[in-house]
Amino acid sequence: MTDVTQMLDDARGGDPGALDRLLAAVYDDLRKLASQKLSRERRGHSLQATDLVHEAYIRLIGGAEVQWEKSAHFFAAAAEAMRRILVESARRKKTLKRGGGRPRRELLEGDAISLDDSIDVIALDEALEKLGLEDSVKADLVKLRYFAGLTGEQTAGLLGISRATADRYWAYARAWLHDEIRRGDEKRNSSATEEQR
Amino acid sequence: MTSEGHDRLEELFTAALGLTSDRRRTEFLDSACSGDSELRTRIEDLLSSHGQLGTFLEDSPITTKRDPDATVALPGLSATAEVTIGRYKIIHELGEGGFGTVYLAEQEQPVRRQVALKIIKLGMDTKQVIARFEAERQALALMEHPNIARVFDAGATESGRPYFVMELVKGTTVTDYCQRNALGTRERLQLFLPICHAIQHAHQKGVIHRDLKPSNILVTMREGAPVPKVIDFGIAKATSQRLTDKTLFTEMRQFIGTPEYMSPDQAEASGMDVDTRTDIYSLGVLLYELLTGATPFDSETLKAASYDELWRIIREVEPPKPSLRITRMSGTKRETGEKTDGDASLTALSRRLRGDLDWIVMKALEKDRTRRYATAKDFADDIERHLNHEPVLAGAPSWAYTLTKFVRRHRVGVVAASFVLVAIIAGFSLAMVGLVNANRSREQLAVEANAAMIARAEADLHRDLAQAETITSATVSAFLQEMLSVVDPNEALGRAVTVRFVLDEAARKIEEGALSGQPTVEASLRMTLGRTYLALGLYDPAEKQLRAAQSICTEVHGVESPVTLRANGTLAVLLRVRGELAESEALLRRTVDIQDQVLGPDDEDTLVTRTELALALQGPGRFEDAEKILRRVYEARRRVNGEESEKTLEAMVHLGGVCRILGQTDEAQRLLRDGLHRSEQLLGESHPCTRAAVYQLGLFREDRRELEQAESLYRRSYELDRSILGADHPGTSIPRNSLLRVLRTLQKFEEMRPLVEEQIARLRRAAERPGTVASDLHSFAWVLLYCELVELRDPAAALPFAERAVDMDGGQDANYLDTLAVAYARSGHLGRAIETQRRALAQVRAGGPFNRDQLESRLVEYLILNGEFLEATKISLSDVASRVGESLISEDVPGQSEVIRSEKLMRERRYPEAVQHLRICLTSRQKSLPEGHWLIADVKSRLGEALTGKGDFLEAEVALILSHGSLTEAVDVSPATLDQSIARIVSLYEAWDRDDDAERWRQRRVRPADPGSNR
Repeated sequence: MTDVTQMLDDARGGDPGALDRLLAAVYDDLRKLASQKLSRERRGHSLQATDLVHEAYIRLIGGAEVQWEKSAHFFAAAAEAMRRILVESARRKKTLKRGGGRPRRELLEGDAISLDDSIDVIALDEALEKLGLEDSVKADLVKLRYFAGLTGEQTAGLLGISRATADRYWAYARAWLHDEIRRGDEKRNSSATEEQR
Repeated sequence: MTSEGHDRLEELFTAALGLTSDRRRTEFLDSACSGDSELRTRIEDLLSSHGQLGTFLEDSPITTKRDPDATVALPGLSATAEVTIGRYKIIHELGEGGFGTVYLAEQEQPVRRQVALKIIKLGMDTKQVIARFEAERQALALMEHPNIARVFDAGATESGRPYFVMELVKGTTVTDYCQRNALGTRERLQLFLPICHAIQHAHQKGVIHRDLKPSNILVTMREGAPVPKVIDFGIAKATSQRLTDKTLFTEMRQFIGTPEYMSPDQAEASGMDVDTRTDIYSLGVLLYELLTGATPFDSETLKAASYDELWRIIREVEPPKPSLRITRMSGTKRETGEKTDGDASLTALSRRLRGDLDWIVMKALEKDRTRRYATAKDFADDIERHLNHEPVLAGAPSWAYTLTKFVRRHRVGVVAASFVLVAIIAGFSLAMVGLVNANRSREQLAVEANAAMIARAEADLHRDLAQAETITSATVSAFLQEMLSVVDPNEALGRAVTVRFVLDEAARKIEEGALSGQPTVEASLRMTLGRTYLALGLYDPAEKQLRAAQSICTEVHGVESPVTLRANGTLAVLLRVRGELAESEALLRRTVDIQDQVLGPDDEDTLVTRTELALALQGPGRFEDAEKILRRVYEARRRVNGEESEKTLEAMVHLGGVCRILGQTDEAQRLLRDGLHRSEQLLGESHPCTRAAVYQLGLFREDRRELEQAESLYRRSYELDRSILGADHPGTSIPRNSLLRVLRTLQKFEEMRPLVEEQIARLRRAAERPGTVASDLHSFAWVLLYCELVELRDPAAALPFAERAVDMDGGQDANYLDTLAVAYARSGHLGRAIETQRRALAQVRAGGPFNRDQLESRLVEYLILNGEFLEATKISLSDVASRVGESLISEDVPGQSEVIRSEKLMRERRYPEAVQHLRICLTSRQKSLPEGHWLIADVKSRLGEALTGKGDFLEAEVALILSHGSLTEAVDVSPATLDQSIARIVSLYEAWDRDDDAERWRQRRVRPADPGSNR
């Protein structure tokens, strides 16, 4: 049994520390994986969050048969880890853009991840956090689908809801988050105008 | 919102979404929200957001750029269908090359294994290809080598395309591997060797590869070690067609893909007369690329070339030597991936390649194949020779070359010393600096780091060997013999034979009269030794040798001889760096006057002396005079040496430096910038002129308060000097101190730390070495008292060194005494500080070059701290006492500037700010001073006063009472300090209306109220 499987077991047994450790392990692995992949496959291959998560899954848990239910914790951790990687990467980019000094080696690694520019990951993260406080199931669903790259069906299975509900939640959450980010933008813009005056 | 709220919102949203017409949606929302306008707006917002979603959150957040052409689907096959070709089941595509597409396939019979299956592109005559392959199959089957991927099979697909089946190699191309792992030159060469051996093996079995290039050499990892594998053996032969047919050209070119690797033999009109030596050529190209990151001929040029032009280039054009190629790359991006920090390392790399590696590569790339290495093994052997520092076959091995090789074979330790000997005889010195460092720190210093220095030494050696050959007298031979025996490991018997040791031995032998019959030779060797010591920063022995050389020269050659004049000049340089400026200037003036007459003002020696004179004048601040001279020198240099010469650039930088000081900003900037730029280009990063320009430009930036830029220039200067001169060299201290100064202004304390530690360590080594001198002891004590980082100061540790310095000096030097007094005062021995400072003053009165005011004000400070006010006023009638607050000693007490600031703030009744400053001061003193030191209690007491002012009486009381307790217990506390502490307590109770307490404390005061104590 790998360490990670042990952590999964512990997490399932209700040990909250195990989840943190699991998260740390997954996070670490994903970072490494992402930078390796990106350097190896710079040319001609696409890198999907899904691939990363699945590869991390295989690497950390190995060939061991893991019950689906147990792996819920894994994917939750993976989604969380992926979210952190992306948010950190986005923050760093923002800092660099502001002229926050010379990038250091460790920064470059994360920056190899090219973010989908159409999305402000930081704003999304804030909106998602808000949603999570109000309705954790819907927020988890977004995390699993978006950050861990799971399908609607997998997500439904993990969250213990029907496929139809998962789809409905998904449509709603997307619209809600989109709206929330828009509101945030408006607020920022208006306060920026305020300052100019 | 709650999760129920979200559920409700979601329900309405989903329902509204399900309604297709706007009208029905409006109706639905009207009824569902029934007057709840907030809810309604919310849903309408969501619906409008939904309309704008696009792919929002649908795509994975991270992607890399996808190349749509990267994968080519197998024609006529859908992704799901199982594909088999012959006996092989296709699993998936591995990649695409010039020939065709490679797939991962599985073989079922006779063994189950995974293989690489390569399907050749259309346009080939399949039958011929297979026939040619069959013809070579026998030979291919005989190849059995760990670095060769085997070719198992060939055949034709149903659509009639030829395919080959090979051993599956999971790896990256050799160039990618080197780049990704940032391999150094040596590692690249080591990776190249097995490739040669693989080719040698194939050649012995009668197989020529014909298409060696990086994409055909993959590197896999086995047990953590890289293993290169040559793939595609036999395929080029099988698929080759006559290249002379012009109509086929376009297709061929596509097919060949990479003419960069094609040998001139292959490009010959006959085209088919190709033997094993074509592979040698391609190996040469590969090595060229591994070392420089580029192929001998630029890919773009070849791509753009016409058919005829292409063949002409391959057959006739001589490519630049690898080292030259690197030099040309300076400023542009280089692509080997070898760790480089810009042009500095490019220059170093170029030096590494110069010589052996240039020769080796160029021998493999000979157009005339008879002049190439005859076999791949010969090629490999020569590389191994290079790696072992043995003479290589390539190139022209002169005796000088052989000697250099002999020396380099033992880079560090014993034989580096024999190199030094050769150098002494040959009469050059500067080049040895790097060797000495290699020697001095051989444990921690990677040999590679000094490769550049050794390469330069080597170049100098070449140049100077001619000179060495002319010294043939019997005396010199005997001297050399004797010296060699010193260097010989058998004779040395395990003694550490360092360069310094060899120099000292040579000096000792000369001193004993080994060359007494040969004054000319003796003078020349002494000059060399002196210059070498000077370059190494060992000024004492340098002075001894140079003075002796000068006097012998004067005697033997006469005052007006160029040799004597040169000896004068060198001695003057030494005097200047030692700070004996008056003597240096006098000597230089005398020398330059004679040189003007004897040699003329434009003579090299005259110009050197004149430059030195200008530098000597800058010491005592005569910058205008220096400027005049430097302008004259610069003009002469431009005229005599030309704009691009090393000498002109040096003159330019010197002049730029003095212009900076004189505030001629524009001119300084132009001279320094241009000087740096050209010097980098022409002389390289590590040339003294470039280093000087970098440093001068740093000063320039610092003047303009462009501190970040100044920092980066100083750092560059410091790192260059450190790597070239060594951390202990006095020359390295100059940029280090400047860097420290800027870092302190920028408050980058963490970055200062390693520099200060290095500084302390350097001085400690000098102070603790056997046979140390008073000045080294003093310097170490000084740095422990005054170094830039307060937390690294250590007065207690400084004390014994300061004492020894004074002992050794016999109490003559006021400087040493002053330092000792500071050490006493800071370690709390005020009585001894006063006594020592009085001795220092006595020395000054006896007539020493010292700032008397400074000494006096310190003595006054000690006396006041000790409560001896009457004595203090006796010392000086001048208004010294008023300066006490800002005297130097005060600044050197940790946190003293904060205290002074707080005093000012309290006078202005800005108590909260004063509290802040005092708290900072308290923290820094608690960190840097021993527990219970009275200075800590003193600042606490001051803090109590500030808190009183602020109205925080309770806290003030605690601070004041506790600090008073500490002050009464501490040693060396002056009555005045104690009294002030009481006065503060009294003021607290007065402010607090606790009159009884105030009166009780007032009784304890020894002295009547001191005007300075209680505001």
